[in-house]
Formats: sequence, structure tokens, C-alpha cells
Amino acid sequence: MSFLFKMAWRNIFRQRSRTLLSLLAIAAGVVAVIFSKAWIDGMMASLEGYTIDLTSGHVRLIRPEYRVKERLLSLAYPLGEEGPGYARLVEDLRHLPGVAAATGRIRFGLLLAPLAGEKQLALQGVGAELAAEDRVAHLGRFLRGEGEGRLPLPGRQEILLGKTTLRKLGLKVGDKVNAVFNTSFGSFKIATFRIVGAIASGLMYLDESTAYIPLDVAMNLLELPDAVTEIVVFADRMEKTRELQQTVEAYLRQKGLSYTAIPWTEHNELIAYMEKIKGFYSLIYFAFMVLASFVVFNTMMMIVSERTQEIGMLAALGFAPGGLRRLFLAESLLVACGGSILGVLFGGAVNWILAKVGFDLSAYMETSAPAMMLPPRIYPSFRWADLFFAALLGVVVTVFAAYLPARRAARLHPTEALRTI
Amino acid sequence: MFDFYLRLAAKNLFRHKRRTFLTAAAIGVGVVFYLWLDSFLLGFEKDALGNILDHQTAEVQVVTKATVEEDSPELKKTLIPRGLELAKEIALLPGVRAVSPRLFFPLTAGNGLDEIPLLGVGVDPAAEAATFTNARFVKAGRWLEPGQAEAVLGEKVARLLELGVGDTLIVRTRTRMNTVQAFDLTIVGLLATPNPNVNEGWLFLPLDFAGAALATEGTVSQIEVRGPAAKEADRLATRIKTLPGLPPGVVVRTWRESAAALLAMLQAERQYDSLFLLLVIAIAVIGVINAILLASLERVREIGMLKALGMTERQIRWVFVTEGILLGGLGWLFGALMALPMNYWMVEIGYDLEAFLGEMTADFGYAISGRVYGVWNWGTFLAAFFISLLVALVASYFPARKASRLDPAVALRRL
Amino acid sequence: MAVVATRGLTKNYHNGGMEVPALRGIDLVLEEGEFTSLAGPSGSGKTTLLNLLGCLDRACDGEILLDGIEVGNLSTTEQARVRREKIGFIFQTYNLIPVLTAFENVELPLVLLRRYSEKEIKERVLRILAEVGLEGLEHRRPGDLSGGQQQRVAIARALVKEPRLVLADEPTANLDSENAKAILDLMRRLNETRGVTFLFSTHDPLVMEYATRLITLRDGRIVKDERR
Ligand SMILES: Nc1ncnc2c1ncn2[C@@H]1O[C@H](COP(=O)(O)OP(=O)(O)O)[C@@H](O)[C@H]1O
Ligand SMILES: [Mg+2]
Repeated sequence: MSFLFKMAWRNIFRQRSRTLLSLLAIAAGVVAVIFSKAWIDGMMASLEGYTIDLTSGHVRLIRPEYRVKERLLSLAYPLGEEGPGYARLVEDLRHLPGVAAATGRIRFGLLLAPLAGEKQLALQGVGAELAAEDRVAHLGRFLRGEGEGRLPLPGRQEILLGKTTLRKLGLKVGDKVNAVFNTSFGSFKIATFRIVGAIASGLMYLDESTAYIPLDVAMNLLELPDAVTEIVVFADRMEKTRELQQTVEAYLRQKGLSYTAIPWTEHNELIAYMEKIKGFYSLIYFAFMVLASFVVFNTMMMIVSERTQEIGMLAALGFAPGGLRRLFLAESLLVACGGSILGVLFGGAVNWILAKVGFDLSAYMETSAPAMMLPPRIYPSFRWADLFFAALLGVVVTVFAAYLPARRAARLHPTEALRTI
Repeated sequence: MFDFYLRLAAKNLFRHKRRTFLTAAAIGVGVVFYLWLDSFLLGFEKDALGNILDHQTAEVQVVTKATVEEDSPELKKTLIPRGLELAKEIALLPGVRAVSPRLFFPLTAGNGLDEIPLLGVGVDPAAEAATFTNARFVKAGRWLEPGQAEAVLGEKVARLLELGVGDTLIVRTRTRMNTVQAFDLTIVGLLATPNPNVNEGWLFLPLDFAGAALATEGTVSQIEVRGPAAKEADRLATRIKTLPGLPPGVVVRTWRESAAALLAMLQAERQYDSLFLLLVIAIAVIGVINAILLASLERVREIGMLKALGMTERQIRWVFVTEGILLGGLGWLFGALMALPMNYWMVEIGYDLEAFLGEMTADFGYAISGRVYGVWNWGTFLAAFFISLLVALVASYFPARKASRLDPAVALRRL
Repeated sequence: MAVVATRGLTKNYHNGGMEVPALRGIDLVLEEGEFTSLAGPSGSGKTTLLNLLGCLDRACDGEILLDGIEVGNLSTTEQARVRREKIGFIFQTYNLIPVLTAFENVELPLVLLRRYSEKEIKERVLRILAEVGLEGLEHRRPGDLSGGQQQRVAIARALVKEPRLVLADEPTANLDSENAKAILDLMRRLNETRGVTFLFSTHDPLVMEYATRLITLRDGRIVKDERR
């Protein structure tokens, strides 16, 4: 075996320029795989992460009728009105196996206006247990840097707004603001809130279209005692969403509740679409590598025809077809490993930098809507496992590409191979 | 002489059918990618801009400074003084086909139980119908009539509120003086335009009714001017700017400025997609270099013979560069042949954005709902041809030079 | 027992639909230690016969016994094993592996056999290289050796595993007469000291002088077989 690799190793250096090109081709393929995977995964992770944390949870519990009325921010279909109340419900959910967190939200339509002046803005209000929200979505991180202040405290008439909202209203943290809304009975109400925090996340959803108030305050003002419009439930990892959904559904059945549990993968069409095309992306990575492997194939083909006589001699010395095949596969394996390492070194380094620097997406921000959950900068993912995956793909595809030439070498008839012209 | 190179190159390429095929295929993939991308983005751009021009903003738009500069200005700051009169003056300018004064204001529309924030658009029914195609997309009921307390809004929004033609809509808004104003409108028509922004965000009502309700007194917030052609928007804008009756504090801008965000997004999209294209090109370039290098290595004897026949290094270089160029051409041919049916499909059948994104298309900021179609752009095919040749030429130059300098005696020894 | 015995060995080639008879019934017995020359004009079937005896090819008809064992119907892999264990080849074009040094070229057959320890291999290789007169050149690659030297490496490679039979196809055709003589002297000496059976093809009269037995082929038939 070592003799095989010794020969393969030396054969690699017979035509350095040729080997160099094979190495470059494999490296280019590996780099292409690393980049596209990092970019796509980074995009998906960002989109999915924000959607899960801020809106869908891993599983979201609502009344089935609510689904079509969500856009209206209707209060007509609350959880906790019949059967167990919200406090009971969320407590039960938190104790189910596999549940890492569960919390309720009341989403309602809201008009904000400064105490003086004519400006006003329509937003989505969210009554939430902010301490729990902070644990799952880490809202606190958006209050640092450009943001400021703190999260509203339970029982107090405090509100958390986005940086952009505040700018539009000409207000700042510490100011008071009037909120106009309809209660669940359809009556018109005005309440004054103190602004305690400003979110600067880069997300339209948080920065300009959502206002957080404490859940108990929201229940009071909206006349929804011990009821919410939705409960989001989290497992400890997003991969466990299916099990979580089943657990929650079993609980609902047991309690005889007709709520639906919607997994995050079905939260909206965009997410569902992304999930659908994930497999298609793997095909792209594969295609990149296959294109690159054409170079190796062509080169190996030529090498085999060039070394016909040598192959004949090796056969005369007693190399069986299997041995000849292995000799050429060993050669391609060495080139494959070399190229993949080269690709991973270069691609990995650039990927590492890009993952720190990110890509500017602000051009998309102006035209997209809050539901997109698109941050102004996307950071490509950087994962060692992905580098390993790219390298492995490089090696496997290359060796496969070399298989046909190697088999051709093995199938050469010794007397034909030895014939001198 | 070039004819000779071409024949020689073609024969040599034919000698290694498989290698030629694989190398050309790599170029072909790049070409297909490029052609497809271009068709998709151009089609997209055409549809999106078309949808904006047909339904949202015309070639030239007159608005106030505050509308352009501020994030969400108060209503009174968005109003163009003497707007209605100005619209009439503009209508008389040469080259103006139609003018639609519009009054935009935020409102909430409800059914008594639920409500939804929408953008109210007060329009002169006839002028609006002459300027934009929205009136033609009324799927149920009819278009507005002046002076009436009636509304036309998106079919989907109406369905959400469980309202239909003939039902009453409760509207809440604020007047120019910032007092709260509530009124009822009868829904007379339901819209389903190709522009999701209009379908899902707008509520049309007669301008005279809206003006009275909001006490805007002859002012409007936008004057949309339909000119002879998109290309001549600039000239038209200049003409409007020099109108003597133009009130201070207004801005005249062309569709290029009013759709700037969309154009910027498309530009960014094109750039990101080009990154992927670049990766494919890099791989194709390596493929061509490799093919020429292999050809030269395998033909050292032949090179020696050609030298013996008196060929110069330059001429030998040409032998191989021609082979590279031919490979590029062949790659383009592969790519173009693959792109033809693909593009045919894109143009004729299209790509159903809504099937993938459902009602979220508006959230993407794409002013498109339903299908996106490709376009036939022969210029791109031609461009792809020259790019393929150029890339192949550059890629083959160095291995060709190397080949021309090969000393057959040395080269043969190393094999 | 005879090292090689063939009966009715026939080989036809197909050349564009035409049957080209290369061997038409060869009956041949080679005894241990014989130093046999296979003469005949070009195209008479010398190479074909050597290939068949060396298990590089298959006969159309007839049988071949190597050491009394039928080798005519072996699978490709079994043929490879027979070549590995019993046969040494020497070719007109030397056919050394260019990336391996002289030492490694000679070492290769022993490595393939997997029978000897590294130390034994080294001893044997150095001994045979000294015997063919290449002391000090062990680490040169074929490209840095003259034709005569290369053929010596090839001879060392053929003999290092102590094969039952060495087949040499026109071993001196690429060499000048002086080098050819030296190579023939070397082969003859190895034949005498080691008792290895040699069969070499040639159409060079000088070479035939060295042989203890001279077989002449014509049109795929043995037309003369004389011992000296
Ligand atoms: N692979 C082949 N295909 C067709 N004919 C062949 C082939 N090899 C040898 N021959 C024919 O077989 C005959 C014997 O050839 P060969 O054994 O090479 O003769 P020698 O070695 O004595 O010159 C010749 O007529 C030759 O043309
Ligand atoms: Mg011969």
C-alpha cells in the first residue's frame, strides 16, 4: 500500500503544471461550495432565527379561526377564554417534556401619537411577558449600542419602541406617548405610556413596526383578562420542532382544547418556501463540484493514455487489474486531498472574514416589509463542519471523476498496452 | 491563414471529443446561468417597473418636499397648495397624455369589529382611469363615481374584513386640522391588479368626497403625470418645473426617482447573483486552461514537427489559442442551446412567484403578484458569445505560450 | 520436469474482420536451465508466443503448462499472480517505471510478492544490482541512465524474484553491438550461475550465437529446433 502511494505521489510531480491545474480546479470547486453554503445558510439562519425568536416560536398556539384574521390583529379569538386561563395554560406548557420556554402574546392594532403635535403612526402592539421574551429573543441586545433604555416592567404603563418609530414621532426615551386602540369589545380607548426603551436592531419589524408593552397591562387595557392571542413554545433546539409539536398537540387533545399548534416551518409562505428549496441548494453545491471535477477527469484520461506502456509493464510485473485501478485512484486521491485542503484554507479564510464583515443588504430594506425579517447586514455562516463538508465533497466527487479513467487503466489489455508502435 | 488554424483546431478538438465536450459543457453552464439570470432579472424589472408605472406612479410626479424628505410627515405638510388647479395647468402642457391628482392619507378601515390600517387614495375617477389602469382591474362591482361616499379596495382586504360589494366600511382618519374624522363608505368595487402594493394597501375613494371630509380645500398630495413615453420623462419634468404657477416647496420627479428603491434593490440583486456567476466562470477558465495545456503536452511531437517545418513560436501559439477560442464558441453554443428552451419556458409560461410566496409577494417589495416572465434579449446572447470567446482566449493564451516554447526534446523525456 | 510445455498452441488476431493467424500450432518444451533463442523474421509470431507463455494473453487453442500446471484458462487476476510469481520480463524498450529509482524498480517485484521482509528485499536488490554491474547507480532514475544501464536494471528487475522463466523480447534491439554483447554476456552468466530458464526472441545473428538452443519460427510455425 505504501508503495502504491509512493508511486502515486511521484506521478503527481511528473507534470507539475497539469497537477497544479487539477489542484486549482478542485480548490475552486471547494471554495464555491464553501461560499455558496455560507451565504445561503447565513441568510436562512438569519431569516429563520429572527422569525422564530420574534414571531413564530418553534411552535405557536392559536385558535384555528385566528389564522386568517391575523393580519387584522383581531382580538376576537383569544386563548384562555374557555377552558383553562392563560396563566394555567402557559404553566402547563412550560412543564411539558421537551419544552424549554413558553410565553403568551397579545398582538393588537395601535395608533401612537405624541402628547402634542399632529403626528401619528399605526403599529403592531405586542403585550408580552418581557422577561420571558428577553430569554428567548434576547431583546436586551438591541438596547445596547444604538439602542437605549430598558424593557418595560410588569404592571407599569411602560412601552418599548423602535428607534425608527421614535424618530418618526420625534420622541425619545423618557417621553410619554399616547396610544389609541380598540378593546376586545370594540370600544375605543386612549392610554398614555412612558417610553422606557428604544430598540435598534436593524430589523424593520422591531425598529419601526412593533411596540411592546407588559402583558398584564395589555390584558387590562384590552379587556382580555387572563387571555392572549397566541402562545409561542420553544424547544431547546429548532431541530426538535416536530417532537415539540406532537407533545403540545397531545396536551391539547388531553385537555380537549381545539387550538392549533403551528410549527415554525409553516409560519409563513417565505419560510415554507425556504424549507422546500433547501434540498435544491445541495444540488447546486454538487453541481459546482462536478463542473470542477471535469478538469480532473480530462487530466486523468490523458494520464492513462500517456502511460499505456507503463501500465502494460506493471501488468507484466504482476499487477492485477484491481491494483492498477487502485494506483490511479491513489493518485487522484492525493490530488483531491491537496486541492480540497487548498480550497478549505483559502475559502475558509475568506469565509471567516466575510462572516465577520457581512454583506450589506440595505438596498433591500427600503422595499421590503416588516414580515421579511431581513436585517440590513447578512453574516455568512462560518462553521467548521461546513468546511469539512466542502472538503469531503471535493474529495469524493474528484475520486469519483477519476474512477472511469482508473477503470480504463485497469481494463487495458497488457499486450495492447505493451505494443510499441 | 486563420482558416488553416481554424481547421486544424477543429480537427484537434474533434480528436478528443469527450474532453472537448466536458470543457465546453463547463463554459456552457456559465453561459446558461448568465442568460437565464439576465432574462429573469430583466423580466422581473420590466414587470415590476411596468406594474409601478401602470398602477402606482406615472412617468412624472409632483409632490411636496416633505413627502420626499421626511419619514412620515404630517398630512398638512404633504399637501400641494393649489394642487387641483396646478393639475389642470399641467394637463395643458404639450406631451402630457393624462394627469391624475391624488390625495393620500392614512386611515383605518373597519367592519365594526376588526379594522386594518390602509392608505386612503382620493382620486378623480375619470382622471385616474385615464392615467392608470387600476380601474380596469375591478373584479366585482364598478369603478368610482365622483361625489359619492364610496370606496374601491383590494379583493383580499375586503375578504379579510368579510365585506363585499354593497357593504359599508367604517373609516377613521384625521383631517387637515388633525381632528378625528369618521365616516362610512359603501364598497362599490373590488380590485385585483397585478400590483400587490395597490391590492393590499390602498383604498380608493372620490377625491371631492375625500377633500370635503378632510378639509383639504383644493390641495392634493400628488399630481401624477402620464407623458408620451418613459424615456421622455426628463423633458416633461423640466417643462413642469418651469411652469410659472408652480407653488414653492414642491418637487417634480421622474419615475426613476420615485422607484429608486426598487431600482436599487434590483441592482443589488444583480450584483449578488453575479458573485455566483463569477465562481462558475472561474471554474470554466480553469477547465479551458487545462484543456489547452493537455493538448499541448500531448502534442509535443507535433509541435516539434511544426517547428521543423518552419513555424514560428507565434504561429504555434496561434494554433492553440484558436483551439481555445473554438472551445469558447462551442461552450457558448452549448449554453445557448440549453438556454433557448429554458428561456422559452420562462417567457411563455413564466415563473409563478405567488405559488412560492403566496400572499407575501408584497412583503418582498416586489411590485409583482402572480407570474414573472422572462424576456428575449438577443443582445445578451450576443454579449455571452463575445464574453465566452474572450474568456476562452485569455484562458488559453498562457498555456498556448507555454506550448510554443516547449522544447520537444526535453518535454518528451519527462513523460 | 519441463518448465514450459505447450501443445498445439494457436493464436489468431482479428484485424478489421479478417482473421490473421499469428501462431499455428506450437509444440514446445523448455527444460530447466535452457538458454533458448527464438529466431525468425519480423511478423513470424515471436512476440505472440512470448506473450502467451508469459500469461499476458490468451491462446485461441492448445494448452500451456507452466511447471506442469495448466495456465491457459486462468482469470485475469490469476494470470497476474502467475506473472508475479513465476515470470520475469525483459523488453526491447526496457519499460522501467520512470518515477522510480533503479533500486525501486528492482524492488517492485519483491514488494508485490509480499513474501520478504524489508531487510531481505534490500539485500536481494543490492546483490542483484551489483551482479548486473550497477553498483553506485541505485538511486538514479531511468531518465538519468544510458540505454545499456537501463536494460541492466530491467534484467535485474526480471531476475530479482528468482522466476522460473525469463522471457526477453528482442532485448538488444535498441542497443549498439558493444552494449548488446555485454547484455548477452550478462544474461548468459546469470543463466549459468542461477540456473534460470531463458527464452529470448531476436533476429540478430550475433544474439543467436549465445543460445544453447535455437528455435526458428516462420509464419507461426516452428520450422527449426536445434540444440548446441
Ligand atoms: N494485436 C494484433 N492485432 C492484429 N494482428 C497482430 C497483432 N499482434 C500481432 N499481429 C500479427 O500477428 C503476426 C505475428 O506478430 P508478432 O508476434 O508481433 O511477430 P514478431 O514478434 O515475430 O515480429 C503478425 O502478422 C502481426 O501482424
Ligand atoms: Mg515482435
